[in-house]
Amino acid sequence: MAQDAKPERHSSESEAAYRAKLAANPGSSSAALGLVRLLDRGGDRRTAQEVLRAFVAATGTHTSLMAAARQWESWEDSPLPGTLTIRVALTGSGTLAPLGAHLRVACAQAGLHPFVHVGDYGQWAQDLLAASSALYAFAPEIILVPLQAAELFPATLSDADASAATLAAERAAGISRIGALVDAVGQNAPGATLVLNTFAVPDRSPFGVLDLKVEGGQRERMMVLNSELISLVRDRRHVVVLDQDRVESRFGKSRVRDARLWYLGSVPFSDGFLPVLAAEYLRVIRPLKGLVRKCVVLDLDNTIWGGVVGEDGLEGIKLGGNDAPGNAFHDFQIALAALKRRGILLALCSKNNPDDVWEVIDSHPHMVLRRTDFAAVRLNWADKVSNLVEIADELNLGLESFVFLDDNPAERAMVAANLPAVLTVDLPGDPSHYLETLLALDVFDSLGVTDEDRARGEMYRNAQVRREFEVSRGGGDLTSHLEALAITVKIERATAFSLPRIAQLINKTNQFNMTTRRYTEAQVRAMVESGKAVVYSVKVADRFGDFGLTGVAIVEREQDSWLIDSFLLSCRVLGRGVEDALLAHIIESARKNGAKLLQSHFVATARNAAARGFFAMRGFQKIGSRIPEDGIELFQLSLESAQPATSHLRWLRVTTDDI
Amino acid sequence: MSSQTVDVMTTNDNLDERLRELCAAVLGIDTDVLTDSSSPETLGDWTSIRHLSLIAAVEEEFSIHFSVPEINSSQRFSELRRIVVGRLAQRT
Repeated sequence: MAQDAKPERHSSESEAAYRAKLAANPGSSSAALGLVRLLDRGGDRRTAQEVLRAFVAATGTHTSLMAAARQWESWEDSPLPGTLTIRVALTGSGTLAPLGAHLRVACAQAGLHPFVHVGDYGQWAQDLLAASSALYAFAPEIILVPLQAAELFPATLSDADASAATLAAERAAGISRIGALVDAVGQNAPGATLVLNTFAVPDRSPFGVLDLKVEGGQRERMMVLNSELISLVRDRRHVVVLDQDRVESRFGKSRVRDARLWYLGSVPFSDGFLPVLAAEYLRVIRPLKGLVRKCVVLDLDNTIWGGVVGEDGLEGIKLGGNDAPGNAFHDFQIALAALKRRGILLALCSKNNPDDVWEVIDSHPHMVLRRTDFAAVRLNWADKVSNLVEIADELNLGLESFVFLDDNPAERAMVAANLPAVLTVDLPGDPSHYLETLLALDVFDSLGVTDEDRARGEMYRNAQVRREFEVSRGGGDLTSHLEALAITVKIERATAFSLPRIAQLINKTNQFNMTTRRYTEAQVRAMVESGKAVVYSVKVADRFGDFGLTGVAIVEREQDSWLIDSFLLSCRVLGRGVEDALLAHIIESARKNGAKLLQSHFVATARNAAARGFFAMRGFQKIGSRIPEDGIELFQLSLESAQPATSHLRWLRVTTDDI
Repeated sequence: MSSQTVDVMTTNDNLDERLRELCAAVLGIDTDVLTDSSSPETLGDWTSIRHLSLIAAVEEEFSIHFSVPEINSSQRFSELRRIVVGRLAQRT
């Protein structure tokens, strides 16, 4: 019978059968992997990857993780068009192939197409010191080097009889080896981020209970060692230190190593700990690729206080004091306020009567979050999906920047189903666990808090005041309106101080972005230091406040012809002529330096419609798609004929340090 | 009724299938390729490191624990199954 069926029919029947089997048993690896392979062979790799991701997310078993690792390995060389990729190199103490497999899956689950290179056993020094190594040939964006104290500092770790001189010598030698690695990576992979780790204090000491009583006990030795490591790399911008000791403590140090795996194959981590460690590395990898959540949208009743304000009233709700659950809600609010201080925006979305809500927020003695803490507010009875879309629009953020916190499972299900890009958190039923749930999300990390991050909440409040001003001015022509705003623009060359913010903007700006090329901070720094390109930053302010560093351009300078590689502006400052001021500056600078031609790339994406047409409207000629399959359009402007374009921008006060 | 279900779950046929699916998933091969005499010598995908992952998956799936000698001797499908069957029998 099967022989009579046509192949197409046969495969579609199998797909239905696999899907039915998977629906009945979401943990069935044979159904999931069978379906993945069938879809893949049928040419639908995108759906195959979706099925695999859903399977891993639903099961999380060792079998599913290892199967997914094998599958992603087979896909490595052919990323789907339009997907973000990451090149991870891993080398360090012991056998790291299992960690490499878990990293591959963790990257894939975060939406990144993984390329993973694992160094050979025992080769980390050669891998990192030799410019010609396979590791550097792999061209990693990030290099993970998990080192074990047992390999570099054996006496420090377990020799109770070692003299202070012996320990100091071992420490100096090991730290200097690590210093050499840091330098080598800086030279051999100038764009790459290097991740080192602290050395964990073991869960048992050779000094027993006297460890802290004797001079130079184990914990004290490890603290000195780690503090020297941290000092070594504190000012090295391309280095991140993962706090291995903290990660191991959280998991349980006695379970971090599996003695059998260690003695059999020098595998330094247990199968239970590997996914935990991979997840910790993702906290560095995600922000490196711009995958950062920037706004938490909060429900109110039973989410940031106990009870329903519309029924229980100001005095009836549970918040603060010494009793549960009021004390738990209070701590939860403190943690949310701490997020806000790290630059994460808070927004309210609640089905409530605004007057009831503001009474609590303005006058409840134990409210931690107050009116000015919220960047956007929706108090109405409309569905939360529409409200979230509106908030995203108001804050100029993509939905993939949002986290949604609501105690009501029905609201969560609606948002999860309709807005899959939003991270909808499964808050536990008991508010006592809200705090730890929030802290364990690990999606708010950035690789350096910038001044703009700290001031962001204030900027959005300024925006609210600005909108009121615009409304109050009513009609009037645009120019006089812009003049009234007293806008100042400062165009500067990138500096060590502005690089973190420049990299952040490069990686998160989607709308007014001509090429949407993502570069890490280290890559931008390498461009600046090599003199390959000029990197401009733009700072904008008006009478209502400072927008901070909100624009970037990267320009490659040749003798006769300059090329704009990147040109982007935060949406918050669009429509005021800032983009023209920046372009005019580049034109003027190119002309002064004797260039005859200014060229620019443009790459259309699903999200940069706001940028389309910009160059054409400024007199650039489109001279075709140089590399059509990459979608790069090339524009050019002859500098011999073009006139300076700033004359109409008389409402702007432009200053620059670039001559 | 329910005790019957448990009996069915622990029959060797069912166990054989679960173990095959698991090996195929972890080693990244088709179940058809796997025979009783499969081992790292016959399957290139069955590397020594992947063998450790396989044992971890088997331990998780059947809630059992292998000793180092057992990890070493289970590098053949028939032997791996013999050890799992033995362990599950001990438990009842």
